[in-house]
Amino acid sequence: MGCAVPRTRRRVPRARAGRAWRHSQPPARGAAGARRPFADVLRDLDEILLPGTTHWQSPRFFAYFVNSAAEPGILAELLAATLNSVAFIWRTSPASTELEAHTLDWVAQLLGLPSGWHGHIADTASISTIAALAAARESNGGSVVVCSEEAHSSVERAARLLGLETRKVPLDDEFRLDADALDLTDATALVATVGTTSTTAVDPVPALADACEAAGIWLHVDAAYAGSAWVCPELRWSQAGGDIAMVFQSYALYPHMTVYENLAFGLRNQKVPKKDIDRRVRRAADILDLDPLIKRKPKQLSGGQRQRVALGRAIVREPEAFLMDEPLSNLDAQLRVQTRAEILKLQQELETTTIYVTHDQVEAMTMGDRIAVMKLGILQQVGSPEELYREPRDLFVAGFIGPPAMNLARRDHGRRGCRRPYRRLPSRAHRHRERPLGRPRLRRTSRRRGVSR
Amino acid sequence: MEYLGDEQLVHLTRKDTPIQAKLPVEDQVGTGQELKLTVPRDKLLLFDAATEERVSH
Repeated sequence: MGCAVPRTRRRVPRARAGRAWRHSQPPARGAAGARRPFADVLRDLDEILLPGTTHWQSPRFFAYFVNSAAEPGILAELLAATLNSVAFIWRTSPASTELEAHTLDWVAQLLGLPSGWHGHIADTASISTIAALAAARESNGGSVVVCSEEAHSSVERAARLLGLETRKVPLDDEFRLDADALDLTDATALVATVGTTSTTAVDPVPALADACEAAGIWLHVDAAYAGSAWVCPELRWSQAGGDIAMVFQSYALYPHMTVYENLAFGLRNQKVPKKDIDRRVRRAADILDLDPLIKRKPKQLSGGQRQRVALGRAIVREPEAFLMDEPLSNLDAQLRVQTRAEILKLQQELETTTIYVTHDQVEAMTMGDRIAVMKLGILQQVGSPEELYREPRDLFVAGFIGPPAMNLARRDHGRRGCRRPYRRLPSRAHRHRERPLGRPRLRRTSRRRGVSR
Repeated sequence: MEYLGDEQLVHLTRKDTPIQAKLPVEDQVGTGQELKLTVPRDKLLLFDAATEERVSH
């Protein structure tokens, strides 16, 4: 068959639209259901289809797509076609969904991705881009997609399809998106290129991530090409992050697994011995008081219980640090207070460094050993809760820390100006010697009763 | 006034400047009532209006 010798064929078809079929034998264009000898079908394959097909497998073609024509791939395709496997949701094919999850975990290990990465299989990177941009548009309502000239053409197509405008950012000398020229006005998402299809450009993702976070927009990383290259350890420099276990606002639990299975899942994929898995899962369940719930599935759990399972999944990995991104934001007020205390106790028990992102100042004040206050991505002050409360560095921190926020009143000096010039604060190196200033304490003179904030 | 259980958060204005104060709930205050409050000098923080940075007393 012709397809066995792609070396001899033209790699990209020369045919014009409609031309391939015009020269075919009448039976090939005949009525549906017309009977033909099988030899004729093979001849059509050879004479019509193969000349009209790009030969990705040709050694003379720069075939940047992953090769699925290995024996296991061909067998898998045969099996899927024979079974007519329709696995678009878990209910139609639980085994396929779980196989997908396992396979992705293997791929993540193969590529050296940090633990905690998860995902799903899409047919192309272009589809992933469309889905990401649609989700971004839905979440923040922006109207512009920002990318570089090196971004894949599918980015612009997806933007057009979704009614979004594309804004191209200039490149630097190494074909990277120039972060200094970034304009995120009205943006909904930024698409970073990390060796996408047909280019080896690698955008400065960490800097772009900071900019996106500050602007509150989505960052979609198109790593269609680099993803495969990460098989080689020496090419993994474009992976950001590390061994940081994440606890997400949405608990990201597997709905079809029990609490025990959810806790054990990551460890099983890492081929941790069964005994060790059981020990680590039992310990996490014990710490988080999940023992009575261990056989339940997520839909049988309350929000707080799901949050505890999510925490448990992070604990069993025994990471070097926890990154908790607003883990309590989905809980009701009472549960939030309870879970806050649990996390605090847990952190003290595990003695593991924890970075806790929150907009809730009570959480920050009650849980943090050190608080970093940021404004538009810029660090304003780092210090203990007491330090930030009593000695805010500037008006932003003073007005931010509470509740209630500090009372601020403007004082004008009038014509005489300031009678006694203020002494500037000492430099950071000497600040610890400064006398604490504290907060205003209002006092009612009528009853001589102290009023504290 | 915001009743917080063991204390109350009172919203006041002084020459159009909004002020918040936490008072014990035992202090009965009503809307529109005039209150006389003082601030201990050592609790005052001063900020430079131009740079917004804190300056000492």
